[in-house]
Amino acid sequence: MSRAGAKCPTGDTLSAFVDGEVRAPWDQAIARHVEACPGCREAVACLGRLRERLARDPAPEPRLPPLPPHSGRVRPVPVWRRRIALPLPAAAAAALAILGLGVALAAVAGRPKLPWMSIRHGPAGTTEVIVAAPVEDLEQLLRTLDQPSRASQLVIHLPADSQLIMVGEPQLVREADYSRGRRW
Amino acid sequence: MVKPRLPLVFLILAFAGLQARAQDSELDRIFQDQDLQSLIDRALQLNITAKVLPPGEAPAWNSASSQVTLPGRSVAVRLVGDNLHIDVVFTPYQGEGGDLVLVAQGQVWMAGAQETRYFTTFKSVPVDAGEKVLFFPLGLSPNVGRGDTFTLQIEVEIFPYRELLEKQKASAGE
Repeated sequence: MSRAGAKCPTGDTLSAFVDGEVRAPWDQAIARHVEACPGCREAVACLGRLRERLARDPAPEPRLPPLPPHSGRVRPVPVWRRRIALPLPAAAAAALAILGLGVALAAVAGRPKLPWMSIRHGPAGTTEVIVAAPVEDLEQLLRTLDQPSRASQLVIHLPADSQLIMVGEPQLVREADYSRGRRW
Repeated sequence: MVKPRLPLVFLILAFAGLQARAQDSELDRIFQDQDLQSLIDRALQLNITAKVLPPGEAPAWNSASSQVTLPGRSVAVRLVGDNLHIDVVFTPYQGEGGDLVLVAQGQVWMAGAQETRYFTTFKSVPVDAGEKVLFFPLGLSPNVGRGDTFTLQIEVEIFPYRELLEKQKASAGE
């Protein structure tokens, strides 16, 4: 409460008054109060000095690190020439990993391509035998399946004077069904 | 001057050689395994007889042979004639319950005066052990046994190999 007996305006109101943002007739009422109230007069004077100072000093520019001086075109450094700083244990681990990968690749490449066999014993006494030839693509798989040497082959020479012709669709029948059909 | 990478190459080659040797010994161990006796239990013998049936009941010619195989492994039969070339691949398959299915894949090349004709077929039939299955790669004429039509017939019988072995042992012991 001021000595003038009126309620003092808030700091925001005084700041707006100093900035000229308070409209009539309130600006005149505040002016009268400030004249009569030493506290508010001091506050207004302080705000005025601050405003003048802010108006005098321009906003500071952001501080950036200075660019390195260079001349001519900038040539990027190739990746393989860039220096990488690695701790010694990490470098040793990386070298070991690369060596291990190389050895594993060499082992796989040097492994002979033999037929692969697996025997599995089932719980009910069954035995499953899987024999597979190594194939790398579909063409090789088809060649492998089509290879005559994979199957046991019998060669039968037909009699020279046999006069055989195609008489219909090839048939595969059980002998019992065939005999029954012939009786019909 | 020896390049520093040369020892590494020798090391890799030595390691690859060891791997190959380990693979060989692994296969040797598998093939000498007594468990492979179970293969004999699963082995099948295919008795295959090719017949040329002229009009009439008695075959004019036949040729019989047999092959031991495993379920899933094929037995190929090649019939070679003057103007005829037939490839038949028989593959027995065995289900979990022991039921057998015979698959026949046939290819026929027939040379004529003007052209060579090619036929192919793929057939399957369920079959019991010891049962005969007939395959007619050139088809089955309704006039078989009548008229002047010749028929080519391939008979296939499938026997469990273990049973045949036991029969042989029994007959040898008598």
